Amino acid sequence: MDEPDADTPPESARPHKLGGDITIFRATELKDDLMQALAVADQYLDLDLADVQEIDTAGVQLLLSTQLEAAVQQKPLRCLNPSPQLVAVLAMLNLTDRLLAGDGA
Amino acid sequence: MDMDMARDALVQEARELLDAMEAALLQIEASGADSEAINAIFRAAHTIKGSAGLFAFNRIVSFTHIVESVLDRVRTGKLPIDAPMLSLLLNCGDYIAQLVDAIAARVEEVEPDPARRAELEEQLNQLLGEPAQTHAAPAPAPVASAIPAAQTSVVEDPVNSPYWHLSLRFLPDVLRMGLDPLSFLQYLGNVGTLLNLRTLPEGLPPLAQLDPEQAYLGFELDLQSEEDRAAIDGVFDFIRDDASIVILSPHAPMHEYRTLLALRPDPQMLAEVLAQGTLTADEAARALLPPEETVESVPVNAPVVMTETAAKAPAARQGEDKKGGYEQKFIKVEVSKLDLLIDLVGELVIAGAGASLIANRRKDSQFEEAVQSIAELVEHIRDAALNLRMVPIGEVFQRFPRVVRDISHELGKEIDLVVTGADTELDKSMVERLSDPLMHIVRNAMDHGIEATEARLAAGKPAAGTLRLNAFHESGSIVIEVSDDGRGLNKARILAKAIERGLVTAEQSLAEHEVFRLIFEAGFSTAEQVTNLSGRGVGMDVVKKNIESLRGEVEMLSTEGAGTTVRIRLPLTLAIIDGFQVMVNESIFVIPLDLVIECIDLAGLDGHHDIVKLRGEPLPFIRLRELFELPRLEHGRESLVVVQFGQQRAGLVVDRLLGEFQAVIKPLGELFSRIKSISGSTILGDGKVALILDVANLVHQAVQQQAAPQNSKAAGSLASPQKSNG
Repeated sequence: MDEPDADTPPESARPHKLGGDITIFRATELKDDLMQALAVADQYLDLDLADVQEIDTAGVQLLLSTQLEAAVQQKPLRCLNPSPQLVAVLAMLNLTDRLLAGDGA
Repeated sequence: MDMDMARDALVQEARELLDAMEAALLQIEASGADSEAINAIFRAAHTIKGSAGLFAFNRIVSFTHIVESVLDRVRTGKLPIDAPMLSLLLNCGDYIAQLVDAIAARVEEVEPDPARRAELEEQLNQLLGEPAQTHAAPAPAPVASAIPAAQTSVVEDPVNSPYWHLSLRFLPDVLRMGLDPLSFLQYLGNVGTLLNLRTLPEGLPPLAQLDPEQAYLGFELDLQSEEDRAAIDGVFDFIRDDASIVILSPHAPMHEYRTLLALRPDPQMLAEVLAQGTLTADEAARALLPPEETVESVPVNAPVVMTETAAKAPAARQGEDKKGGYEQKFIKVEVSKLDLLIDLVGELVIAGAGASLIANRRKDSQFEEAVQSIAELVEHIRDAALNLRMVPIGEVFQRFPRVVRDISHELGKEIDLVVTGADTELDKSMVERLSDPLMHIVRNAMDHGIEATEARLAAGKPAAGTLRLNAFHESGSIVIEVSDDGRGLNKARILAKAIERGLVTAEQSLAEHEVFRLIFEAGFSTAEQVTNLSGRGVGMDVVKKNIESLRGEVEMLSTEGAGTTVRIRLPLTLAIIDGFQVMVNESIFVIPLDLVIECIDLAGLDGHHDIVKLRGEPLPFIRLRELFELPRLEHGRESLVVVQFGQQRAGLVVDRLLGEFQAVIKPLGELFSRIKSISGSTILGDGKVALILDVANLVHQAVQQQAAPQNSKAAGSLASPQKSNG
């Protein structure tokens, strides 16, 4: 797991990597992973999504729900380097603006 | 074809809801108004309206809408729920049921009873009265104007959008079931171009509260496509049962959008979503308003209308919640699928019997052991599969509170209904066929059995009669009893009538139960006056025929002056039984194992004239060899199988006992329908056919022969009297 370096400023905090298949099969595991990432995140929750392979409904929900949770904890979610597969799915669902807008993309 | 299935589902759902509505109304009548019951009634009406709207069954929609408006006022306490209101609502429920029947019969374009409808609508509209109703027209004409108004507004008024609109929501469990809504959307791309897609994070919680395997997302989208509805609909074949999928055609009439909004938990929000693409802002706003109010006219009504919708929205949400919970607990399965499963299990049982036969011959103990454990599993699968078809008999019983209420009003008798054993289970196919005979028996009991109040008081009985429905399991059968505490059967009168009809002669001396059995003879009715309830030519003989077609039996018990009980005894299932194989010459017969009491070596018994003395008691018996006219064998020990049906026992004489066996019952052809001693056939492990004995009938034959050997009428068709052959 990523150990954030307490001394480095938030901007340069290493983004949390979320890769592979973001699907129902790993949904529970990924939820825990994301909750932890959020717990250790500072100011922003940065996700590095460059290695996302397959993503299904459960995966999309997970991202949207993470965004909500991040907002609750006042550590806004920033999705960085979305993989082409992820971009395609979010485009189809018209979620690009919602998840990939501004900060990270 | 898909449309047909959807239609069936709608009809079934509507009937269930109507039943629930009726039960709630009767509950209110019995124990006073309670808000839970009133809400249940409202939800039922609301859901029926919603589903019917999806199919544009406008007759139901427009009628139910008025009912719903009245219910809404009841719910908010603006109208009292008193006896006339209850009667009116019950009648409205009946009329909706007629409309549903029309849909089931594919004649929804025809109003089943316009006069009745007008009458009910008038009463409803009177209740709605001045405060907010639509009919600006002065009093006398409201009914006439109501129907056309509702219909014109409903039929016309297409929206602007040239695209299909799809609204998709999914059950929480779809992901866990391996279905991915996303893949259906991707596949939909093959049918047309997705436009204005909106992903609705309906109720999606922040991550901390997220159940990551539950489906939350819903979708609203437009589809530009040249395909027809069937092609678009077909995309969702695999997920349809686990989702709510609404497909609206290009330029769909406004009311379809209206229904869609009503169907979803948050119409306001959805209307806003739709306004961002699918609909114009004006259309979206209009879709939020109830239909009648939107017909050009009266802007004066608008504010009232708004409050009404606002009041409805939470109710709709509540309804959805309830429904969701229900759907998680039960899945609806088409009966034909269950039948197929049971057929296959039947084949499995036969194939298993074949395997164990081979195992026995091989004398290979490991093989035998393996086959044995498979056989055990097959037995479990069989029981589980049959269990799927078992439903509580309460499904039939639940009709009766209403029936008893209506008939007792009509007859001016006070009758209490007591239902016990409603959770006793029996085969679904029997439930359906049991309903009519039971109805007839219940009507009979109320009409002829229970006396008028004065007569009851004169006889020292409580003024209110009691009708009991009871069900329980007993040795492989289900027993259903309908009892009343009425005047009982008059033995002398039945006998006199039977003699008059030539059914028996005056010299014959009949036991009490034999006299009562005469009631089941064709064309027998002792009612001195024919009322419009029973005695309409459909007699107890039809009841008996119906029950016998289910391999069951019906009997009468009665004490004059104290009441009558009609007892129906049915086998638990119609498909597979545990059988006991016996052999006569080379033929194998199967006896339902539940009915076998014991097996005895006949040689040790003293048997004369078809009666043996068993432990000091006489037991009538039948030789299967003679019954089926099989050739006599030289020698051989014979065995006696003692069987019991109901309270009566008889013996069957066979050559050999072969042991237990699971028999898959195959019906007999038309050709054999007159043979009384056989109820079906089955296929043995080695492929041979064995006949299944109709024990009920054989026991009767044996007992009758014992009682009246001289009465030639008593012997069954195949059973030539023993003397001739022996």
